[in-house]
Amino acid sequence: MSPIDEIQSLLASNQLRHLTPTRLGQAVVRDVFVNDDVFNLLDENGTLESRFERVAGRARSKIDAFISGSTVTFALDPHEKNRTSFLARNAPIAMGIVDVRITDPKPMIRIFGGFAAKNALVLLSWAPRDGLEFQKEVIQCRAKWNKLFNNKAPLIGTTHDEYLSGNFDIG
Amino acid sequence: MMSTSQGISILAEPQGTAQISQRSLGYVAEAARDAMFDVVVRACIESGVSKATLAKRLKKDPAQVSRLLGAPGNWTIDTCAELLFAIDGSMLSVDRFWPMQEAKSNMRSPACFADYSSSSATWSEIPAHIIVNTSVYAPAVAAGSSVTEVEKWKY
Repeated sequence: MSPIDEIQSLLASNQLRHLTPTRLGQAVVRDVFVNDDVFNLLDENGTLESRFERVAGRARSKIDAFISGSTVTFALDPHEKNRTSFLARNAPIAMGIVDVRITDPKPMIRIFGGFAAKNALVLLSWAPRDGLEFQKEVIQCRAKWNKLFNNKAPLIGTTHDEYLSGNFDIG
Repeated sequence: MMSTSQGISILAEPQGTAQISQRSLGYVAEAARDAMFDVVVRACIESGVSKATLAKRLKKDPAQVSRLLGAPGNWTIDTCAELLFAIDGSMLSVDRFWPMQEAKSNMRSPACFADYSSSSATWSEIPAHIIVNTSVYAPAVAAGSSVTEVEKWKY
């Protein structure tokens, strides 16, 4: 099965959900698919510790903007990136895991996942930035990915254009 | 059947004295901050003014201007207004809209299902030397164990 076929199958079995922008007037230009954990973070009816409610709303706003094709900053180098990048690859790059970075104001969080194909981001876990152990999160996210996609690797590109079309800043 | 999020309620109009959720407040605040940021960044690009020039006009450290123009972060309305004026002499104009009254876009289904380049994508080959061990603090592999080792990544 192609990555897109796999995603269709996962949507049909409710293992993934497709996020649509909260504003009805916004179109889907880039796809974001989430599992229940991330959906719980991003959805109005999700259950969260109260200290994360506001940042969850902020995260949803930024992800909606990403979905509707806004300009985003995407860092390919895990070790040299703009601290304000919206999206960044994690080390080791060969794992294929990226994170969505919700930064200042605090609390900050990171949402981890991978690209199944160009413009098709799958988000599978999240954690508060405070005390985050990146290596552990990357490995755990990749394990979730492997289980969902039968050990097939996320997209690992060499240029930004291989991950995203449209507007992006190199960061 | 495709599973999609509803996501309508986070922007539902406030009713009576019911408390608005922190999610909703976080959402609208972030959207406003990003909208202000977009206006400023676009003005910056269109005017061609350099960060160094902006720094001098605002009597700020160039590194501080760089940080401000990197992301809206902790921007205040003062920040936005001052940057905009320093860029090209313009002032911020504010308006409002009701998101739930917007006409619904026709393009709400997964774009990748319609896009040829995505639909024809194939899975990457996992390089033979890369094997994922889901145990973070894996002990040394015992003889006869079925656990595979994490090898050194190369990229």
